[in-house]
Amino acid sequence: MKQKLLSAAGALRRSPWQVKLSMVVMGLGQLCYGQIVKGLFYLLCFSVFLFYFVSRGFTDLVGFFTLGTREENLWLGIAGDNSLTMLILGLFAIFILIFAIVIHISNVKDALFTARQAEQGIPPRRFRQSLQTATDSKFHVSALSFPVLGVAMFSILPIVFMICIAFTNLGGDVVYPKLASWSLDSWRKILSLGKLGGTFVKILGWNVLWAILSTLLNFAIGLGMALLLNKKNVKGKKIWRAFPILAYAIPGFISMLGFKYLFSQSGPINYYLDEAGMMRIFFLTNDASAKWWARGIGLFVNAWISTPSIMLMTTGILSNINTDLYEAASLDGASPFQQFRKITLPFVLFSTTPVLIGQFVGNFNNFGIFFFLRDGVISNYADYFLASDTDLLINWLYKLSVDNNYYAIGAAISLVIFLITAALSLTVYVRSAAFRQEDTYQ
Amino acid sequence: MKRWIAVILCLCLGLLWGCGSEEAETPEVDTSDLYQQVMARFDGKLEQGAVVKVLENDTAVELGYVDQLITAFNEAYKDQGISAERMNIDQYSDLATDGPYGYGPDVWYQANDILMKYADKQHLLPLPIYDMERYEQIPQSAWDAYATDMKGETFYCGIPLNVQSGMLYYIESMLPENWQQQWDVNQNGTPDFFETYTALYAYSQLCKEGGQKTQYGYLDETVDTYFMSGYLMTYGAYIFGSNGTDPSDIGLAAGESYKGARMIRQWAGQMNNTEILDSAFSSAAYQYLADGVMLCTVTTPDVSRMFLRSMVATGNWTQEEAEKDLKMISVPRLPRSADLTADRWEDTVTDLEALTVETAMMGGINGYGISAYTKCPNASLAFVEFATSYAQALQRHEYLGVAPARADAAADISRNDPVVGILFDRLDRGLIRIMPAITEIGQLWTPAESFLIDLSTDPYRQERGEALLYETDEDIKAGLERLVSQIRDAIETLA
Repeated sequence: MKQKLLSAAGALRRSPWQVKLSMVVMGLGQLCYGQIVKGLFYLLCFSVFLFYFVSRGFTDLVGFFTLGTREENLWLGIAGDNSLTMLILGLFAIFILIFAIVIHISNVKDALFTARQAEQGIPPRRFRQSLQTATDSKFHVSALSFPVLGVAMFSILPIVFMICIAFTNLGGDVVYPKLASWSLDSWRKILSLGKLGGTFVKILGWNVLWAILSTLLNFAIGLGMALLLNKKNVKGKKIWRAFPILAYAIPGFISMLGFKYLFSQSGPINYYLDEAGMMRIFFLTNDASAKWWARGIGLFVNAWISTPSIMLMTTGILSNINTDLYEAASLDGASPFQQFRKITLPFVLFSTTPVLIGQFVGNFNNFGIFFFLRDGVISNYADYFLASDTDLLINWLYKLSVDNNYYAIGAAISLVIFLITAALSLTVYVRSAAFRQEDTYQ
Repeated sequence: MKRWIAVILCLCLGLLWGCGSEEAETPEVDTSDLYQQVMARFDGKLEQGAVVKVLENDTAVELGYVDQLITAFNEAYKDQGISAERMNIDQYSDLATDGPYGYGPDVWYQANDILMKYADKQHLLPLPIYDMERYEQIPQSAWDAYATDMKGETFYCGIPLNVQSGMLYYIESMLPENWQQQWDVNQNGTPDFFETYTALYAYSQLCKEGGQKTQYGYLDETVDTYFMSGYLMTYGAYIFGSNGTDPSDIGLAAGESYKGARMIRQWAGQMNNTEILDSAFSSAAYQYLADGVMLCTVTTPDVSRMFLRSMVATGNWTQEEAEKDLKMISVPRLPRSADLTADRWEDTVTDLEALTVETAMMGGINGYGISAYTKCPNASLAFVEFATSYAQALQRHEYLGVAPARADAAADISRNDPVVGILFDRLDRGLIRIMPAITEIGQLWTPAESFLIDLSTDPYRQERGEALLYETDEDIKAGLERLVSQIRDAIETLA
């Protein structure tokens, strides 16, 4: 890398004056070589960048670092800064700056290329030739530049914005017109042994357990149902398959609200318990005894909603297994369980690993289940801070950032969720057969 | 009896604030330079062509009041170049998020705690209340719900419109047939079980034993902080110190508040119905009252239409019959002993002053605020003045049954509707503790509800073979202390 930089610096030092001119003002070198259209294009880009940075870009860049210096007084009509707007505009200015640098480098490289051609006595490329190159040997660059720009603007910029928020003190009392500043407070609060830290660890533990259990449960039930309905001796397969599809077709939140009522204190289950002379059960109520009931109900409801899709998918995969394999295994004396373990499961797992990773990430961030089943309570008995013992990180994040406006802490938790899910997903994927033995079943 | 109370309250209101609908003269109040500076934008020049965006309460929209209000305003101001329109967005707008980017309302109707959490960040404008004719018509306690400080000076960021607090609802035809013989020991024409909670507890026990018209006497969501905090407040608790403005002083464990909590536990045990632990109970309550599951419950006056709707839906009442049969009265008095079973209920009604205390309740003052981001402050102010006028206060009551904060309107309405007089009287005597209007109030609800669930679940623990958590006063005190520390943590940890 260092060598590359040194050699580029040397090339630039030895380059003719036209290249040096292009280094100062984009497009001038090209104009000097008689590349009028290209030169004017670079010059136009230079003018636009210059105008933007002089008129507001530089101020926005400074604003990104200060996050505002003058507080607004809305009552007295004294204008001031808005930290959130300054953060967004500052980030935008940084992106424009990076874009300008990329264009500038391409301008210098182009001038250098033309200078080398001129040294060899080759006439500079005309605009039409440059266009031809862009659609031919440099097609990969031209084809990807717009998507990359789009991804940068609409995907990377919001993510970077969220990351930046995690390193400010925005939220709570610090909202417009109060000025925010860069701070590590949110991280200190999450990682310390205080209230937030304690709750974070408890929720994270349950979140990981939930994601693993729910993914395994959904997969096991879905595969089990598919295997059962794949058996030749099962009668009325179409009808049996229709039932899970019905559950799948009903909007998830309607099912969740239905289950919430079913298990509520005034719901039919408690009613019949009462009628039978038994004690009502605190299924979803905010009581210590409800902790595992509510968690179990969450797993059950999630399975109810997600299992049909796994069943459908595995049904399709099972129909692709060569039946000769089972025949051969039977002849070799393999038991049905051995056949399942050695043939069916590896085959299904091979095809479904990426989907299972998607399911795991989806379950890790499954906001709806406990939002609908158990909203509005915190488990004070176990010192949960603004959370209940069934909340996942995503629910806690919602309570902190939406209900209580603690944006910075919410953003920090989002980052942690992202890191955990990304690390686990990648690890599982690269260790899976689907990744390591991609050609095995092809 | 009730008629007499209404007449007396009317006279009191008339004496206190002056009766009648005549527009009072604008009071003269010395104002500071800062006040003049802040109020400079209200120069009285209506912004020509301005359309005031009004965000109103969902019930007021549903029952047609808002359409009436806006039509009346547009008609009144059609020659002055301004008009108003209803904003069709969620009634709980986030002014801090929407306002700076031009999406919020110009004028917003809400409860004082919701409006005022935006005032201390300056998202709501202070209003020139001293220049308004209604300044002296509205009691100071209602104004205080909208007060905030800047540089040591008090400003008011809202115009109080109506008073909200808990009232006891019951259906007259559900009273026991013999109540005048058996349950009117003091012969004052009011059932004894609506006079003291001790008597209500005794009657509720009777209902549990069966043979009465209703399955339960009193049934309520004992986990609702808004209504249950009254038990704590009656015995010395408060939410925040310095009149609700000091979040470092959380007073839910202050005084003898544990006594109030002890009675909530007693009620939960007496009701012996786990539905009261669920917030879904509040919506089921309308039907339960109409179906005769319970004789009475406590909730705010603005939901009376919901009870009426449920009563009519049963087919047992016509609208007119339901309106006549549904009653709303002041909440009963609590025992001085803070034990619902310690005194003979007959004694509590014959010796009210010695054995009982008046019950304090949490309350709120709903009103209008003006967004600091409005482009038409003068037109917005004109709308707020119109909507809080005497005539509109009467209209609002007619449509929604709410109790106005204006003394003149309250005095007029209470001639026919004693509830308004009762609420006004309770507000004046400090028995309605207005919800603090600072942002930190947001951290009260969830921890408090969790404590109340814990407390109300306690009576069931023994039969489940679990250890009781709130068996003694010391346990309850510790629970309240823990609640205070949770609220403090929520305020301080994230500050």
